[in-house]
Amino acid sequence: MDETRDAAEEIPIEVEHRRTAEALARTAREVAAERLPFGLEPQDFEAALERLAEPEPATGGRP
Amino acid sequence: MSPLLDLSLAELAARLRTGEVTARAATEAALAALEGRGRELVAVARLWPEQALARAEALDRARAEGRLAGPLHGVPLAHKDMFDREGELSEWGTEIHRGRVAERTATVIARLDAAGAIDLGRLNMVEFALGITGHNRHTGHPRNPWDPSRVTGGSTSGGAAAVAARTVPGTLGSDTGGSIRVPASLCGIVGIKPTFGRVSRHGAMPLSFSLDHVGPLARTARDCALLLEAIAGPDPLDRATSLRPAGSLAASIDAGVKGLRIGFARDGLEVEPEAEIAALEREAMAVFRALGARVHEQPIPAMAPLNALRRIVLTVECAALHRELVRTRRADYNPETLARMMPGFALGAVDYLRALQLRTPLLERFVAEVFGACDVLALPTCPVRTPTLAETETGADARFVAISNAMSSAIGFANYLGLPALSVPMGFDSRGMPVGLQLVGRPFAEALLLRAAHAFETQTGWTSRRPPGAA
Repeated sequence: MDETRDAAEEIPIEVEHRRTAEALARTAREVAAERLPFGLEPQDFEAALERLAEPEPATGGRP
Repeated sequence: MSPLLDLSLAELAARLRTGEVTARAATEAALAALEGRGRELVAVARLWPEQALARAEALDRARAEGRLAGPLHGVPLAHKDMFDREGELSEWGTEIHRGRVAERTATVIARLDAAGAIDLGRLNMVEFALGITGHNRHTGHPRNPWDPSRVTGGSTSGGAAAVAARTVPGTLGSDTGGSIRVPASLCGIVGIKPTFGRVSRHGAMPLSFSLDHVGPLARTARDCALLLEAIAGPDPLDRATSLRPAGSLAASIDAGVKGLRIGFARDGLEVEPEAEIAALEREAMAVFRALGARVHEQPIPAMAPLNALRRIVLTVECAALHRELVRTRRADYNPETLARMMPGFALGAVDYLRALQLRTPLLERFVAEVFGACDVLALPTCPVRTPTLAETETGADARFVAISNAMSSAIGFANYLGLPALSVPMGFDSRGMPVGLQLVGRPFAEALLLRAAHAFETQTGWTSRRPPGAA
C-alpha cells in the first residue's frame, strides 16, 4: 500500500520531486538498517542533547 | 550616515547605558539608514517609526530617572518578518499572507523588549524561510552589501544584509538548515544557531518543528552573545525548550583559546570546498594555532546521509504545514519555495519516522567520535563562493536545486543533530566577497563557540571591515 496515496491524489508531484524523495528514502533505509535500535522513540533526542551536553551547571529536562 | 551605526552593538549599548548616546538618537540613525541603504538593498519589509521613537523617548526618560530597562536599553533592532508582535503585520515573506496581523508576541521579541531593545520593524526574508540563496520574487531579492549583484544567502536575507550594511547593529533570524549561518557567511557577519531547545520558537513562523532554531546575527561574537543571553532560556510556551538556564555567554568571551582542541574537517564533507575557501580555512587554522589552540584534522561521520535525513524531516514537516495552502494556492508560491518543499509530499510516514528516530543514535555517534577528540569542530560554512543573482535566477530548475544543496551541504547536520553552530568571517575571496568559518560544539556549548569566535575575530579584524556604502 502506498502510504502517500491521499496526498498524491490531491497534490500533483512532478517526476523529479518523486525521484528526489525516493533517493532520500533510500538513504534513510540504509542508515536505519545499520544504526537504528528497535523501539527507540523520537522524543529520546531531547534527552540525549541534555545528557551529551558540556559538563557545566545544568538542571536539564524540558518544560 | 551616522557614526553611531559604526559602533558594535556592545559599544552602542554601553554608551546608551551611560547616557552618552540617547535612545532617540540611536533610533533615528537606524531608521534613516534602513529607509536609505536598507531599502536600496531590498532588506526592509516595513518600519514602525512612530512606535519606535515613542519607545525611545520613554527609555530616555527612564534613564534620566536612573532606571535602566536591561542590558539592551535603547538598542535599536529590526527582525526577520516571521517574529510576531501582537497587532502588527507579520507576513512571513509571502504574498499568500499579505495583510496577516499577528495575534501574539513571540517570546524572543518579548524578551528583547524586557531587555530594553527597541523594535524598528521587520526585514525581508525568503518566502516561508524555505531557501538558502535569498531569492524572493514577492518582496524582491535582497542584495548583498559587498556586491549588490550577488545573493545574500537565506533565509535570513534582509537581516544579514541590514546588519552587514550597518543599518542596525543586530537582528534575529531562524535556522532550519543554515538560514542564520549561510547569510552571515555570505554577508560577512557573525550568526549563531544555538542548541535545539536553547531558544523558544513560540510566536515565530514554523517551518519544521523538529529542526527550527532561533538565534541572533550581529557584527561580532560579543554582540551575538549579548543578544543570545537576552532571548535564551526555558519557555513554557515552547515545550521543546530546555530547562537549562541561559547563563552568561559574554562573561567568558575574553578567555581565549589557549589549549582548546580545534578539529578541522576534511573527509566526510558532501561537497569539497572550492580552492579559495579551503585556503582561507587553512589560514584560519594557522591563526588558531598562533593563539595557542591545539589544531588537528578531525575525522567526521559522512555528511551526505545526515543531510538526506535532515531533508526528509524538513520536507515532510513543511509539507504537512503547507498541505492545504499548496492544494488551494499553489500558483501563488515562489517556484523556488515549491522546488524545496515538494519532495515532502512524496515521502512516506515510515521513512519520516525513521529519520526522526535516527537522530539520537547519530547524535550519540557524532558527539563520541568528534567531540571525544576536539572541543570545537571547524569547517567552511559554505563550500562554494557567493553566486550572483543572475547565476541562480534559473527558474527553480535542477541547477537551482543543485546550487542550493551545495550551499547548505556543510550546515544542515547541525540542525538535524541539534548542535550549536556559528559562522564567523574568515576572510575574503578574490572577488572581494566575505567567507565564513563554521564552528560547531557539543550540545549547549554556545559560550565556548562564542569565545573561540571572539578570539579569532579579535586577532584577524575581519569583522571590522566595512562594505561599500555602509552606514
